[in-house]
Amino acid sequence: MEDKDKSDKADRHDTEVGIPHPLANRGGVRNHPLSNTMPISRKTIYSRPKVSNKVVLEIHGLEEGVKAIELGDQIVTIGRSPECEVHLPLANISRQHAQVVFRKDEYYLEDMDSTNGTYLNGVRVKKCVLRNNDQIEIGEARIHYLEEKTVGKP
Amino acid sequence: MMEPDAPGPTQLTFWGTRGSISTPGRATEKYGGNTPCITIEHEGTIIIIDAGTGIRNFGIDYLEEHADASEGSELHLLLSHTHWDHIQGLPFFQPAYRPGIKLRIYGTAHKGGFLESILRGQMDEEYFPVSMSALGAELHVQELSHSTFQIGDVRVDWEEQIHHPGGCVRYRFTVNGKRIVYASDVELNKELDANDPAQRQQLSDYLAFIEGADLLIGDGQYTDDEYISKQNFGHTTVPVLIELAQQAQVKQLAIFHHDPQHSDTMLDEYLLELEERFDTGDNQLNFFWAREGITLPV
Repeated sequence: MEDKDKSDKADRHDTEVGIPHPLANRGGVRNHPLSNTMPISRKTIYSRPKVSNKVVLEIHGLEEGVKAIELGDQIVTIGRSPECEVHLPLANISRQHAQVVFRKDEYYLEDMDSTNGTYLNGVRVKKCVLRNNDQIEIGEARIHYLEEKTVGKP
Repeated sequence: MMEPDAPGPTQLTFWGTRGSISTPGRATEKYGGNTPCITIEHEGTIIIIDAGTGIRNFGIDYLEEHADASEGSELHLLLSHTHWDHIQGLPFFQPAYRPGIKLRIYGTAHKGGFLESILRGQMDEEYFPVSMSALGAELHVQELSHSTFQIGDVRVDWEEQIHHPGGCVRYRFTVNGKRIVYASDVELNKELDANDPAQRQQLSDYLAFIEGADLLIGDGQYTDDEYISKQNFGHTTVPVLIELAQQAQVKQLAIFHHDPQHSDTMLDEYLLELEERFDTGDNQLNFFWAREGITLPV
């Protein structure tokens, strides 16, 4: 019992005098006398693992079934022309109908003055920043925009 | 004989859709966290409606696309009213610092000549480090007088809305035969008292103003349940807004001024409920949540 009291007093004393300086952990050295927590260096904290979004356009309505195209930082054109990255040989689709552009860390859907318009979640749009699960309608095709977060090595 | 040029397209962009206060964060990234700002562009004419925090991003985009913007560039900013969420972005609007740009600011005359002093006041050094007189652009603050005026090819009609503390202006833009109405920050629920002739008149004026609009941007801040404790705050419930838009045969309704407590998930789930409730089969009204970062062709 007496020993426990001593130990409590020691804890209180150390807590009172052991307030760490905010910059004490610089360089991975932890000055707090009571801390047994493993220090983490600033380099580890700020060299973040590469978190990236795997972004996919899932295309529905094609004869060959559902097709997926992964997006990068290149422009992806969508249309009836075979030259389009997303080739949609379907009715009511212009040759160069729309495109997906990567800009300022966001993907944008842009209508390319198509005849029948580009719809996002049921609304005709000229341009729009895309968000996970958005549904794009182009003629008889439906395109599902999907983001999947992946964590890789730094 | 030369064919006359076909009329150019009109585009409307939402830069800020959130009501009351900006709400950054993952829970609001789909519909947006910036406070009200919309632009209408037609044949080189740019009309900005309200200067909430969303105007900051518009300013950055504008200067990127108009790197040579200087002498002769003209922007028109129409304020609905001067509550914080509708003017707070102005000191962060980069084109306002660019010499040679003309920025015309329009707002209600019902402030008794104080519109400019209100805007100047928010840039007092107690609130902000740069004063309004340090802005490099040529600023003209105009109080609305005639009920109709013209900006380029766009005809602008406006009316005062009384059911918002301090008042608020609604605008109608007509171009190429298309009508866009911006009527945010109004408590339409108060106009539903059929026994009160004054309210009946208010409602009738509202319905006439939005009648047949190709796009209505309307205040839908609250659910029915939320409204019980938010009466007199100056905002409308979503179901009332949809009913009135249907009644006035509006074609598209962008429900605007999202409550700061409304997350993307809540809004998505609520829209499904509303779809069921207002599914009248042959009704042509397309209603949706106004969403930051979207440009609509009108």
